[in-house]
Amino acid sequence: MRNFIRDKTLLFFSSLSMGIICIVAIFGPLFIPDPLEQDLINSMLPPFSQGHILGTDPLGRDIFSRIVSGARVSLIVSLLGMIGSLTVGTIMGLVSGARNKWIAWGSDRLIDIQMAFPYILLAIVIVSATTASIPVLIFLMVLAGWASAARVIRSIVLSERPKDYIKAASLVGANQKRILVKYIGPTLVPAIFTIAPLQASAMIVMEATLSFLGLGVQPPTPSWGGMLLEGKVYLSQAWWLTTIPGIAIAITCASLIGIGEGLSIKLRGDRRRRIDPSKTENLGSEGSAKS
Amino acid sequence: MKPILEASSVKKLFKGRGRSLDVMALNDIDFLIYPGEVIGIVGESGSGKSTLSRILVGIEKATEGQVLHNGEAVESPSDWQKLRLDIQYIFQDPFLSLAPHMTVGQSIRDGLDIREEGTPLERNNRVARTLELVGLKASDANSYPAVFSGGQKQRICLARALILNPKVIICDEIVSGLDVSVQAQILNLLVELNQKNGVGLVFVSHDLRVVKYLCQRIIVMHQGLIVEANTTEELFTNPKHEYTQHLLSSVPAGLSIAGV
Amino acid sequence: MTKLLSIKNLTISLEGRPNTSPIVQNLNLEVNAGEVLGIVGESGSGKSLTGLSILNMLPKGVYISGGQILADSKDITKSEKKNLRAYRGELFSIVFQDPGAALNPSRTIGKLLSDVARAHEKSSKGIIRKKSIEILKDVGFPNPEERLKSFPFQLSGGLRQRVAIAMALINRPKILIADEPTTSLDVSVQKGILDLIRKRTIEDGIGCIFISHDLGVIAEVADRVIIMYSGQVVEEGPMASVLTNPKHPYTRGLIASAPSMKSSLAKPLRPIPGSLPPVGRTPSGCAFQDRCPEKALGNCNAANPTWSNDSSNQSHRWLCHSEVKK
Repeated sequence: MRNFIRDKTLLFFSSLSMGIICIVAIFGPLFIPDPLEQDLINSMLPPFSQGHILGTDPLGRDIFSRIVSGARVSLIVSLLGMIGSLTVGTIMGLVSGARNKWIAWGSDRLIDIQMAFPYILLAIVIVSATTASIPVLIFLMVLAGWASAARVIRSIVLSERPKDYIKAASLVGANQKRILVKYIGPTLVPAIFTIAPLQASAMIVMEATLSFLGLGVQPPTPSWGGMLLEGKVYLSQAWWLTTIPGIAIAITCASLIGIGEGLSIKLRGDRRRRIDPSKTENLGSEGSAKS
Repeated sequence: MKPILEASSVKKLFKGRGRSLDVMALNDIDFLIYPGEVIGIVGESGSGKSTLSRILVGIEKATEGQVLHNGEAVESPSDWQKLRLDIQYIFQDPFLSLAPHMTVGQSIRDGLDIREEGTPLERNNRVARTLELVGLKASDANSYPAVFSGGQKQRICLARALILNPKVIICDEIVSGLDVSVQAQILNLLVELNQKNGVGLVFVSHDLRVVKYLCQRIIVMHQGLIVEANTTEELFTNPKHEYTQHLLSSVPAGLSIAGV
Repeated sequence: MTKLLSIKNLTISLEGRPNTSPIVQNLNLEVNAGEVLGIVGESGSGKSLTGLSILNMLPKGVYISGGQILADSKDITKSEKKNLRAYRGELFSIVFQDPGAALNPSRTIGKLLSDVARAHEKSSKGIIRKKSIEILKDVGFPNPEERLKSFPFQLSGGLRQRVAIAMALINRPKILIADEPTTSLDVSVQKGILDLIRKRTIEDGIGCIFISHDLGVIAEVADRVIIMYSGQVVEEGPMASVLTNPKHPYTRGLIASAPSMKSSLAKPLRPIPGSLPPVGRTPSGCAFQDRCPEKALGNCNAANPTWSNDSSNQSHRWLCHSEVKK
């Protein structure tokens, strides 16, 4: 009973919190004052000031509005990044599970290389070669994220492949493609749903990091990472310029991770075979000889 | 008449990993089965009987030697596909040999879908009829494997093999984990399939009592070799090899005095 | 004949499921010194749970809801936890189907035996070593002095089971429960283990309860047998009598559906029609009524069947409404 509550609680509260963030991100910008509007007279106001619940930045822009619009940017970018990363990751994971030794080997090495490479370095190189813009940012995120998704997919494919039901499928005539798509494919779905939120949360951090380094979303478009960058120099005087976007990032990440963990606990629980006395195969011993 | 399936000079070596020794699971095995026969392969653990059954259907590859289908060597993947039109196989553990995310009907039907036999409606009908043939209900096609018992799952696997109209079904320890009454139902079903529909059977088992009941010919395997092969009657009344004699004397014989 | 164990009206139920029938109902059995009592049943018969209940090792969700287990003039069901530990090993001992599971793979045979011995009696290393070697010899383990240093993975399945039996017997328990001990072993190895269990039972004066689904195996090893179906004992008696003269329709069904060394297609196996009642849903009245080919006089679901005794052998009795003397 205790387990039930614990499993559901995490998922419930994380989903609730993420839901709120999404609603704010989608509808928020309709209700707030212009995040770009500068008001030099009212600059550097701390939170709970008149008219500015979260304060203002050095240019007098309302922090609350910037957080809300930044949310939209961060979430959309991360979502696109996550989808791209999962797509490439799943494909490469399936390729790594291929029968052909060389194809699988090649794919594995690609995964290894990508995981070993520091993505910030890569980001700097690519941004200098092109420009810092949102499409490039999304490209970087996919580049950074696909390998860990591929690894998970690959391990599932490799562990399912030797199982009897796959062998049974080839016995009735299924070719490799059919086996991957019809037999192994559906087993990947729960895993994908579990990695997705974790990838998304990594993307949020990645976006913030890259924007903080000036390689991501460019000003004046508000983004959480960008806000961190701008507030950095005022750290001792105006703590709220960095802390508030930092908290936003943290809460969003935690919610996403919570959803991922909650889902994986739930899936594991469904698969975990608890002693169900009504299924006698679990009780004592049933005549089961060696093979 | 040519044997429909044959193993010729088959050897199988499992290479030892690390410090483990290599294991010669099959050492120069010759085996054949004619259409309509019921042959038993008997042995204890390590005899190689399961390895042989897997090699016969291509799930495992022989290190040396050949498998022949209707007298012709099976080499390429398309050869194996042709072989599998005639020869089917049922695994020991029914839990693991059914895809958990597919309904029973989908699992049974897939072979027909791949071969594109008939219209989808016709295929569904065949699924229903095959389920009834093995003693299940046509409506079971919509359920998932998890809701069935071990014996029922084994029938589902039998249905999956049968629907393709094979000439021979290789049964690898398929009744070993089942209750005696369930086992009897499946054995009788196999007998019927052989006598009414002429389906040949290769029945791999460690249980001599079951093999005696079901099979016309028996081969006895021990540590990768065939030590004796004979008709059932001859083998039981006149076992020639020492190992066969030893095996026969170890079988629990208590039930022989039973009064039923 | 010293009576070592007496179970009266044992009932085992599912926790928190008030509308289900008990998994074991009103079970009575007795075990005497030097005899092997066989319990035969298929899955869902409750045979394994009966064995586990004696040691108070029932799994979660299942509990003893009635009856007594009497041994050594005590009722085990009423004992406190701390005494139960002492009973397990000294009074009762158990051997399971999978010898690998009973043996800690990271400990040598010698250590495994001394672990068990020391749990019940503090002795010197030398005495325990002597005891270990002796018990290994008793179970037919070759070269015990040298093999004390072996690890379980170095042994075959049969040898591992012998070690498991040695561990069960080292503290000289009065009652040994063997739950499908040979089911995962090869047939030639099985014979050795069955002989071993019989030998030790007779020579040490133990009472052995041998649980199996295989009537053929039980026929080899047991002096008396009880046949269980869906949680109830449906027939019991001396092994030979029950085998040559089975009275209950289920027993007859078991024998008719089991292949033996005398089977052939000339005499087809007759499977018992239908399937076992799901656990917790035993029909009221006679548990076997839905599958009985010899349905008696319509009484089958109205009232609980009563015991009849074999006229030629009073200790052989069965539970059935039918009054036709079979």
